[in-house]
Amino acid sequence: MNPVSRIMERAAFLEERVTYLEEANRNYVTLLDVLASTSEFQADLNREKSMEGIYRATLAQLGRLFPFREMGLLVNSADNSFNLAECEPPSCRDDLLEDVDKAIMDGIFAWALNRSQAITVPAPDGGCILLHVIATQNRISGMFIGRLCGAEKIIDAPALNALSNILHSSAYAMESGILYSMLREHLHTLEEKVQERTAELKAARDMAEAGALELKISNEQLCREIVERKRAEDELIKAQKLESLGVFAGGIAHDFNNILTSILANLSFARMQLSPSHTISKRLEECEKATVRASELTRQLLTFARGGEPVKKLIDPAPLIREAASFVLRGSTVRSIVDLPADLWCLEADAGQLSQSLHNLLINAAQAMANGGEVTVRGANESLDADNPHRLPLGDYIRITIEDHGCGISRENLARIFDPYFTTKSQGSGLGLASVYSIVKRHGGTVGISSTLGVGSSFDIHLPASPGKRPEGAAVKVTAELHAGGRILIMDDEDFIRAIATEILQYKGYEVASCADGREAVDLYRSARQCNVPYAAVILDLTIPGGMGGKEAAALILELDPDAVLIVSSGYSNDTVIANYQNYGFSGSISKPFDADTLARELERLIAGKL
Amino acid sequence: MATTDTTPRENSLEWLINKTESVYTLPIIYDRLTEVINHPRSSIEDITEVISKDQGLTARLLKLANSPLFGYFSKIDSIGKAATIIGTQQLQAMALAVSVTEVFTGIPENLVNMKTFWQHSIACGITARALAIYRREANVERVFAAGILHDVGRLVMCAAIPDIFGELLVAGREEKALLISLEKERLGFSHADVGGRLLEKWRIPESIAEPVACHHSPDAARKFPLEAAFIHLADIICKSLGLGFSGEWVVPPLELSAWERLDIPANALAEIIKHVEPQLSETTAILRGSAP
Repeated sequence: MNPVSRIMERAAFLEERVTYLEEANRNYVTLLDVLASTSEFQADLNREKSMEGIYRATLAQLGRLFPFREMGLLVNSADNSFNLAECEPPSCRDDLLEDVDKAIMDGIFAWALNRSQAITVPAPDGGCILLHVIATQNRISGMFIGRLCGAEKIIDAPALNALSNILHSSAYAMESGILYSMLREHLHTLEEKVQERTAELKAARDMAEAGALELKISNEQLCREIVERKRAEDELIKAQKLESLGVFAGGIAHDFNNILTSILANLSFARMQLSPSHTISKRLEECEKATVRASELTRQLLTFARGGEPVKKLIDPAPLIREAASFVLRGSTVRSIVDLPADLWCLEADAGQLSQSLHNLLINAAQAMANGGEVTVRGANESLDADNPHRLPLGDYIRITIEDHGCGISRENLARIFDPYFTTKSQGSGLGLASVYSIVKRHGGTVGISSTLGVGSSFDIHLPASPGKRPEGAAVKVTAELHAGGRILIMDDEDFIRAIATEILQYKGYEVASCADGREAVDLYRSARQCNVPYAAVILDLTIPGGMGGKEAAALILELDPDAVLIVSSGYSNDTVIANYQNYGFSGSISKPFDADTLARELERLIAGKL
Repeated sequence: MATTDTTPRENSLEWLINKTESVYTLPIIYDRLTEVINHPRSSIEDITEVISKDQGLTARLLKLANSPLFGYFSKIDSIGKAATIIGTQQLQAMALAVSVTEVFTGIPENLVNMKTFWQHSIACGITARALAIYRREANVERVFAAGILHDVGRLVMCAAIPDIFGELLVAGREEKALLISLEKERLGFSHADVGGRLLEKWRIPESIAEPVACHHSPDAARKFPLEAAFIHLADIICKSLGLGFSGEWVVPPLELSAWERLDIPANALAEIIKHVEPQLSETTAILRGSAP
C-alpha cells in the first residue's frame, strides 16, 4: 500500500469517525434535552392524581425519547394479570396486545418483569419491540411496550438508561397513585362509618333531646305542682292559723259576750230608770255605745269560734245583698249602688255567715272612702270551666263584686290582707277580711282582690251556685195569744244575765222566772201549764255548756205546747238557729248582748202580736 | 505524552499508575466492543462480529449468560441473542468483568492468593448486583463489574510495590488493623484510589470507575454515590461472610449514610444473600476459567 492510498484510507477513516462523532453528539444533545424536560415530567406526575393521567404523561415523555411507532402501558391488576391501560396511537391496541401475547409466549415478558431494564426483541415485521417493567423495589405496577423501526441498529445505551429512569419515576408515581386511591377508598369507608356513627349519634341525641323535653315538661309540671302544693300548704297554714285563732278567740268571745250582755243590760236598765235629761243619762248612753262596739268585735271573733262547716241552706242571695248594703251604709256618707240581675242564681249557703262577710266587705269599703262616695255591689251568674283563673272546680257560681273608690291597698299589704289581725286601720281588729276569707273558703268559693293605690279596690267573691233552684218561702209561725204583762221564763247559764234580764222584765211589768238549763226550763214550763199559769214567752239561751241548749229545749216545750212563744238568745248572731229561728219553732230571736230596750221591745212585739 | 515530561515522585499514585499502566492493559477487544456499542449506526451483528473474534470471551460470555446469575429460562446460544436478551451495555460490562481477571498475571503469590482474591471480588460483584436488582436498578451488570474490579488497586500495589505492600499486609494481619488505613498512612493513598485511577486510565466509564475509587468512602462519590454504596455494602457483607480473601483481616466500618441511601430493609439482606450463594461458585468458575 503506497503512502497516498494510506493517507486516503486514513482520511476516509477519520471522515467516518467525524460523521460518527457528529451523529453521536447530536443524539446526546437530544438526549440531554429530553432529560432536561424530565423535571417537567416529574411535575406532571406529581400533579396527576388519576392513574390515567400518569399513564398519558409517561407515554408522552417516552415518545419524546424514542420515535415509538406504537406504545402502550400494561397495568398489573390485583389478580396479577396485565391489562393494556393506555396506548398511543389508540388504534394500535390490537397490535400491541398481539405483541404482548407473543412476548408472554416467548418468555420474554417474564424475563422483562425480572430485569429492570429495557429488553428489546426483534419484531416479526422487521422493527423491534421494547419491553420495560414498571416497578419499584416493592411492587410491579405494569409493563411498558413499544414498537420501534429498524431492529438492525442497536439502541443508544444512554437513551435506554433515560428510558429506565422515566419508567422508574412512573413506577413510583403509579405506586403512589395506587396508595392514594387505597387511601381514598379507606377514607371513603371511614367517612361512611363516620356518617353512620353520626346518624346514630344524631338519633341518640334526638332521643335524648326528646327525653329532655319530656323531662322539661314534667319538670315544669312538677314546678307547677310544687307551686300549687306550696299554695295549698300556705292555705292550710292560713286555715290552721285561723282555726286555732278561732278556737282561742271563741273561748274568750263567748265569755266576753256574756259579760258585755250583763254590762249593756245593766247600763240600759240604769238609764231607763233615769230621766233622759239627767246628766248621767248621757254618760250611760256613751257607755252603752262603747259596749255595743265591743260586742261587734266579739261577734267577729265568734265567727271564728264557730269554725267548722257552715250550716248551708238554699238561699236567695239578692235580698241578703240588698239588706247588707242598706244596713251597713245606712247613716254613712257612702252611697251604695246595688246592681243585681233579676235571675241571680240561688246558692247553698249559711245566710248568717254570708251576710257577715258582706257586712265586713262593705264596712271595709265605706272605711276606705272616708270622704264619702259610692260603693258598687254587683252580682253575676258565672259558669266556670275547669281552667279558670280562680282555681275553682268546674261549675256554676255567683259572683259578688264590691267595688269602692277609696284609697286602695298597697302591693305589700295586698298579700297579707286576709291574714288575721292584719290591719291598716288604727281601730281595726284585723279580723274582718280574715273572717270573710274563712267564710267564703268554707263555702267552697274564693275571694279575689284587685286594688290600685289612690283609685280603689275591688273584691270579688265567687260562691258555688245552684241554678234553677229557689228556696221555699218559710212559713211564719203565728204564735198563740199572749197576755201582755204575763209570765216570762228566762233560761241562761250565766246567773248575772238571768239577774239583769229578770230585773229588766220585772221593771217592764212582767212576772219573771229563770233557770240555768233546758231541762229545768222544760220542767218549769210543764209545771206552769199544769198549774194553769203558763208562761207568755220563754227566752232560751241557745248554748248551755254541759246542759240542754235552747234548741232541744224548744223542741220539747213545743211538744208540750205547740203554741208556745219561744225566743232564742245567743251571742252567736250568725248561728243558723238565730238566723232561721222560725225553722226551729222559735217566734223570735235576740242576740246577746242585748240592751233593756231591745229585750223589752222584742217581747212586746211577740206578745202583742199574739193579741 | 505529557506524563513523560514530569516524572512523578516514587511511590506516589501517579508513579504507581504509570508503572503498571503499560503492563496491565485491557484486551484490545474491549475497546473495540465499546466503540461498536456506542456507535450510533452499529447493529447487533456488528457486536457479534467483534466479540466472536475472541473465542474465549465468546465462550465465557455465553456461559455467564446461561449461568444462574441470569437464570434465563431458555438457552442463550449466540452473542446476538445475549445482546438482545441481556442488553448491549450489560454485555459490555460483562465483557469487562470477564476480561479483567486475565489482565493481572504475574502477581507475587506470596503476597496475594489470586484464587481467594478473585473469589472475594466476584462475590462482591454478585452481591452488589443482587443489591442493585433488589433496588430495581436498570444497569445491574455495571454494578457487577465494579464489584469485581473494586480491589484491583491492591493487585497494582502488589505488582508495583511488593515490599511495601507486603509490610502493610503483615502489619494488618498482626495488628488486626484496617489495611486501607495502613495504606493511607504509609502511602498517602489507598488501593481504592489506585483502582479508580487505573480504570480511568483504561477509559472505563465513570459509572464503574468512581464506585471503585469510592468503595470505602461512598459519600465521596460525586456522580455515582448509589453505585458506590452498593459496592461498599457488598464488600462489607462478603468480608463478614468470609467469601474469598483480599488481604484485609478486619471488616471495614459501614458508612451509615450509604446504608441510608440504599434504603434496603435490614431483613431483606438475608433474602438477598440467599439469592447470591447459588451463583457464587459457577460464576467464579466461569470468570476465572481455568486460571489457578
